[in-house]
Amino acid sequence: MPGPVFLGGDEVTLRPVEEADLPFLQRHRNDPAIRAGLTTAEPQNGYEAQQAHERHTGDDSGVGLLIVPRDGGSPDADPVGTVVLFDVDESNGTGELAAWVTPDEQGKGYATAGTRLVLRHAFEERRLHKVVARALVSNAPSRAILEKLGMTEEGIQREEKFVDGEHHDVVRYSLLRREWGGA
Amino acid sequence: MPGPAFRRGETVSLSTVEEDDITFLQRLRNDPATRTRTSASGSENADELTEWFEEDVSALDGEDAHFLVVPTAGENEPAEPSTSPAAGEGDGAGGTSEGGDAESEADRQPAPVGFVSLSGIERPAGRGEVTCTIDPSDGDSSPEQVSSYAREALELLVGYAIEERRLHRVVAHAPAGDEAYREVLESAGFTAEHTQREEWFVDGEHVDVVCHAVLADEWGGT
Repeated sequence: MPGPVFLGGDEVTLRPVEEADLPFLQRHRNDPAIRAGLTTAEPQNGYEAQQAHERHTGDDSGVGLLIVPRDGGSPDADPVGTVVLFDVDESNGTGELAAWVTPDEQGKGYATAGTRLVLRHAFEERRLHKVVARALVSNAPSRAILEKLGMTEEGIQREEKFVDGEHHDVVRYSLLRREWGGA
Repeated sequence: MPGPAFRRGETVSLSTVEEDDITFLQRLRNDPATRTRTSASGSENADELTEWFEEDVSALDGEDAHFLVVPTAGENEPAEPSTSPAAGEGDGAGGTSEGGDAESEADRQPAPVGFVSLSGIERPAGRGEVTCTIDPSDGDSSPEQVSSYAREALELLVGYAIEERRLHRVVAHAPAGDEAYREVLESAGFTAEHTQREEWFVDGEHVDVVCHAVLADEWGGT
């Protein structure tokens, strides 16, 4: 059961992970459809699924949250995915974000809504200057989410990730604080 | 005193970082002219450097690699046994003698001129990042010499990464305005890939950073 609300919006709320949520995370991380996003399986949804504390060392003071829909107003609704802000570099004022939503809950705007909340958190609470996000070049649905949120395509990282037996290019998006429209 | 040569080139070798090299690295990592972007915590005193040496450089797990850049013997005059600018400062600065073959070779080594590292290795993709800082404390420190050392040091390091560590992709970042380093990267075999806008905060403002990369398939070796 997700913990108390950390970030709230109209469509979804974001809550910290509690111990009781670990089976949910474990089950979906092992799902080939969304497992580890860019790194071990071609993602069907979202753009990357990494827990900051598992992947990134050093000055990583990010946040990992569960996406819980507000549907029907139940405060105990089950989570449908996660969104993570990681690799936060306070001297540069940068961070990267990633999210995933389970396959049967996709197409309802949850990833977009959750990512929007984390972008607001990054710019308005964490005082970051720039947030980046990445996706496999071939991952059209994830790229559409990032573009809908106003992120700019910054460049291609050639053969950056290894998925399904071969290397794939990754596209990097970014948003600067002055481009963040809020809402 | 640098350890034994780990990977040899024509004009420089990469050597292990030993405890009494901390003084050289302390200067490199603190001097405004040379301090690298990898010093996330800012200033580093001798204790902090020692901790960095013990926990990062000497880490038994993890895939990071750190090397001193040492001119090939004969390029420079061999150094005195103590290469520390301030003899007697720190541990082992006097070059304690314990005998052995490694120590004899180290005695003949010239003073280091720089430091390189390979870090941020991600598997299974086989991606890693390299950094390079060259600053000879004596001898020729002209821009041409510095660039020449940097180019060969990077070639050795990338060769190590691709040929020994089975990396597929090696990246290096340079501020867009750092023409000299960008030319070094390209001469060492990197391709400028994309510009990361306002990515680093340098001297009070955000600056663009160019991401350079070389792929194993492109690496011809030396």
